[in-house]
Amino acid sequence: MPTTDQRIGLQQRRLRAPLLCLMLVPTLAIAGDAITSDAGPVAVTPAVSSPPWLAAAPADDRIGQVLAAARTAELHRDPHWLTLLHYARGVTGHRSLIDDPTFFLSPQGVRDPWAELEATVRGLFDGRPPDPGEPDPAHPGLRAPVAARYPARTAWLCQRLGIDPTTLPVASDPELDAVLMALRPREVQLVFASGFLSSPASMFGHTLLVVRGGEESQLLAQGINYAAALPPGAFDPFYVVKGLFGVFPGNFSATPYHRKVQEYSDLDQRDLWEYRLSLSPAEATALMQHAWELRGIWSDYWFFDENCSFNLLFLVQAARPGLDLTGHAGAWVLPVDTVRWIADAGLVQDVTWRPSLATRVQGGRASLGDDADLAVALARGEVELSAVQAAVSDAARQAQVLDLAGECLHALAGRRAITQAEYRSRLFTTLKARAALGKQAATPLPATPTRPDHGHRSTRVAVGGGGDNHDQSFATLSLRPALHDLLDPPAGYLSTAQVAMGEVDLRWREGDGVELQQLDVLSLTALNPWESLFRRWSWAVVIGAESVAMGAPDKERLQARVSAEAGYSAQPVDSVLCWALAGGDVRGFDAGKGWAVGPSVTAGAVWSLPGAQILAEGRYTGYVLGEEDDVWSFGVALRAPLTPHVALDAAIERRDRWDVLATEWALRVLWYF
Amino acid sequence: MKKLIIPALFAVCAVGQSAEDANLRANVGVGLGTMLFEAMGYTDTVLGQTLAATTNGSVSNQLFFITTGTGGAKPVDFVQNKPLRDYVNDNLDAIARDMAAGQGESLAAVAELAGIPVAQRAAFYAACQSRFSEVFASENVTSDVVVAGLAKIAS
Repeated sequence: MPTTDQRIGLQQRRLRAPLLCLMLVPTLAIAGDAITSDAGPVAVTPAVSSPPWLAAAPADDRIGQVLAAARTAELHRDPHWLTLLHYARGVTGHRSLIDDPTFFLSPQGVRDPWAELEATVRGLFDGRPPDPGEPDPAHPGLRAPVAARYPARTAWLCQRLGIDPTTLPVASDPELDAVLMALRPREVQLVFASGFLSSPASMFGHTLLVVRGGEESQLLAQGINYAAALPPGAFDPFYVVKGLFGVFPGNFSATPYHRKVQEYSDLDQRDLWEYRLSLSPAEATALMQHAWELRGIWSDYWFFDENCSFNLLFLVQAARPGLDLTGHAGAWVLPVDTVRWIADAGLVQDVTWRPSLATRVQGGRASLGDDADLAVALARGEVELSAVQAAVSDAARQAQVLDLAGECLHALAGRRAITQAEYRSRLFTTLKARAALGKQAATPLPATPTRPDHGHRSTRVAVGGGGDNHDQSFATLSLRPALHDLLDPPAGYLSTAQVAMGEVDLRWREGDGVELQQLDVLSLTALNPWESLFRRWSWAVVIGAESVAMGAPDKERLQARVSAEAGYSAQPVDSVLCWALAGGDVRGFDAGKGWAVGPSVTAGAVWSLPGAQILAEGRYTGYVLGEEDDVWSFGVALRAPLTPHVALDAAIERRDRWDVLATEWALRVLWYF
Repeated sequence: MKKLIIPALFAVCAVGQSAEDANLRANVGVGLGTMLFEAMGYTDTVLGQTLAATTNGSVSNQLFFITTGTGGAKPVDFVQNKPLRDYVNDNLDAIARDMAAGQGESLAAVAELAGIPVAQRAAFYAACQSRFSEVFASENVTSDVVVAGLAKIAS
């Protein structure tokens, strides 16, 4: 007997062990025999949490034949079967990522794909609900017969095993049939919501699926979302921690797409990218069928890997056998990378950009020039409608100003910068005046930016060398798992945000060997230009460690550091972003014996040229506690992309830290992959 | 891997979050959560109510919402057309802006849900604009009143 069959046999034995004691049917212990032998029906003792037919001997030859065929074809190892069970190979072995036990018919299903396949086949031929009992509102499919509960499994097994579904006692779920009839799925889109630094959990972006059906308007399509389901009730201050630790259960839910557009585009001010996938109507239906199997099914939500984007990949894989998207996943899964995997698989037909409310408002302001200020002032209640009408006499122009004022009002009310009463009364008068102007050309949208998956890749490695005025030269190697800093090529990214995580910078010096120069566990910067409409603070947070010479150029110490600053930023012209932030800095070194704490100020600017980015930044920290010192630095860096995935970086910095005055320069080649 | 780097990260996230909370009080959401409207069922809204009135933390097991309209162009159908009423309820502000402009995606979705034949859409949009003040007679009209007003325009 081949080893694979022995393994299956062992698993069968494990599965049956408790039942055997009850039923004294030893022949069942040998899996192969149980499947192929013609052992007659035996008395059934329903076991708690196990479908009744699992305890039964094969009722007829047909189940035995079907199971034997499935075993011969090794269907339980078929990638598609493993997709439908959400299997992944992880550190704990090969197992399903679904943590909800009700998803599996077999108690061993979470680790044993054969056991689940056998239970599914037996259930299909049995036709009775595997879990009879009171309906469970949390698990809508639980009390249904197997074919109704698992339409995707059923369709695939029937197709692969040559079973005519109409010969099954129950062939489908009338409720799902009605849904599919009403929705007529014809197309699937992957929607990417750009990163949102206001919420740490959203800093890398988000993805959801949209299933298009018979509706004409995209807004009326089905959005399918995977998210951590927070317990109902008040705000939980520990949600971030819990989200990172997999405490929250995540599940799939469907929402009309217009609600998702409101949530992301209007409220959170995130642009949406709609990637139309080349899936046929039949494949879109298969995706819906698998989504049906996941109603109410939860898995532990892990922010870094088992997140929204990763879980959606199983749905896409379920649409078309042979797709391998989840296999790309490493230790972390960034939403934009899942978009790339889907694009690399040739699944993207075309892409539509849906600018957020904030982007539309900014575009309108850019196109209306000075008149846009009137729209903002009107929305803020600083001028009367009559003054705007007097200032802009041209009807077409006035219509665009009033349209913009309406959107500004929406943005202000969404941010609660004005009261509901103010919003209602200003919107009412503005729109009444707008309607009276009749049909006018809409304000043109801003030009479509680079799509996110065409931006530089997420992981970056840098090699190079440099030196300083103390005649110390060094070689440098650094790795940054994710994602983007203010100097990286801006195409496809938010130009005002930095999200860098896990960067390790190693240096080699003659005589010293290799040392850790810098570790940025996390470095976040959100620069929100302060202007008349969106008055938002800018902020920066760094947590990490760096090697700092103290007292003498060659006396380096590794300092752990946390710093946080907040302040203003401004965009005097489109290509320049500057900032001034103030906050504090805490450092610890020498195994906790040395430390320094003090306030800090930072001022900087980044200038985007065609083909290069230049950043200049000065920083002062007055360490007033611990190892006291006035520490300052001023640096200039230039980064020029050579190809979409390779850039050249030159930097020079002058600094005075703990009695060491130094000028350091470095030249590096950066590779994004 | 994830269990090692996570503890160090959450503190930073918390700092970032509190810094941004000053920015965006409306951001009750965490992005992790499904932000579902309080009105998952049907409630009547007025202008502005859905702009920031989202709540985080609803758990919904419902999968697939039938949003496609079934209505005809008769007023009585409009009021009984739940997908239309729900849509207007959720999108009242965008619909108001589109009606005033006489065009837009939100208004097109209304026309589709209301079952306005494609050939009559342009006239419907124009009528929504010219009769804007009739539908929005005051700043406090509810979405139900707007649906009734749209029905009158379409009839």
